[in-house]
Amino acid sequence: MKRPKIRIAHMLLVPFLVATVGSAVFWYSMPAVSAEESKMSEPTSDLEKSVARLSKSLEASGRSVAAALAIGLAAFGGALGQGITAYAFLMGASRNPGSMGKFFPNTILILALIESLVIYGLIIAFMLMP
Amino acid sequence: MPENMTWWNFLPFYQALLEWTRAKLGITWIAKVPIGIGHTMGFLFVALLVILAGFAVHQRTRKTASALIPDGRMTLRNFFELFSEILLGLMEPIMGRPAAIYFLPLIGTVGTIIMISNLLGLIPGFAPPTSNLNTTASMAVVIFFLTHYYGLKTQGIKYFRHFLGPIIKWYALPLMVFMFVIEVISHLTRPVSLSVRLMGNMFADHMLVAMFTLLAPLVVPIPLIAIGLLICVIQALVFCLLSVIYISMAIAPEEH
Repeated sequence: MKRPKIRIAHMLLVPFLVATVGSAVFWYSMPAVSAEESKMSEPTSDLEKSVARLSKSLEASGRSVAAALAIGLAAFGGALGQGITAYAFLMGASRNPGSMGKFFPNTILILALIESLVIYGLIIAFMLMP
Repeated sequence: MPENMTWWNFLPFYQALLEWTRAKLGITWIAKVPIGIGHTMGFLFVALLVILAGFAVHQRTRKTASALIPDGRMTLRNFFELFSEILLGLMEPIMGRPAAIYFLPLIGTVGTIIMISNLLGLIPGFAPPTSNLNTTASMAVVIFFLTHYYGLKTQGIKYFRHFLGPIIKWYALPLMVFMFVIEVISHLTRPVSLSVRLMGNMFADHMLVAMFTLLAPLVVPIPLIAIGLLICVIQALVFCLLSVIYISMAIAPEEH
């Protein structure tokens, strides 16, 4: 039996397998993880308490505005792009109705790719305000 | 985004498994919530379905006498033969016939798993396993490693000429370094985009149906579930097509 030659690609497989198996073994053999809670020292005076309340509400309002802006701008640009794609497809179909079947899967693919950029904005919005 | 109640919660060992996982793994890294195992249960169910379907179809397609003639009606074997034909028709213009036949098991498995996982979310009470970044990222990272593996396997060390840009002479060293950085970044964003696209679509769709069920219960979610059906098929198709394009770009020989 001839021995197979070891190629460069085979040398990639071993680190990959070691990384996968090793990380699984590492994570599942760790002892119970305690969630770290960094407690700030309790606010002492009335001034500190009101400052803490104000900063918390400012942060919450900032997060709401940021989430709304993220999804709003993403949807704006995405809708424009998809509109242009649909326009191009329909113009081509109106000039040459027989070719509509050939280009329809490609058009759906392009629409899904543009929509994925909108979804990135939505993910950011969800990360800001779950 | 806390863990929702799905049908998997009624399994007898679910609560014990959940507490064991939470003790070992703690808090998720991105969303900072305690970890849930709903997506693992769903994904194992999908894997079980795919394995069972594979066994059921394998018997019929091995005996060569009866394998040539398709069945009269729509059976599981006909469905998978149709599916393979469609995938081959998708892959052939991009990769050429021998490579398409070689990669059909990979793309077929990925496509089947993603399609069944997405469709599982349309049933009320189930969450699609692909609405969680863990499942989608696992598939995207595997495809990422496989593109480089097959690129190296077909082309050897010359695979790295892909990264160096159009001019590969010693006097174009700054351009080569610049192109290398850009190509590495664009290669690294590929699994991110593949996984986040699929996860975002499924998660957003599920969240929309949930919100509209809260607001206007009986009639309004129905068109949303219809659009969800369209979206889940399209997203499975886009994942498969993009991974085919990445693999074909990696194994294509350099043309001058």
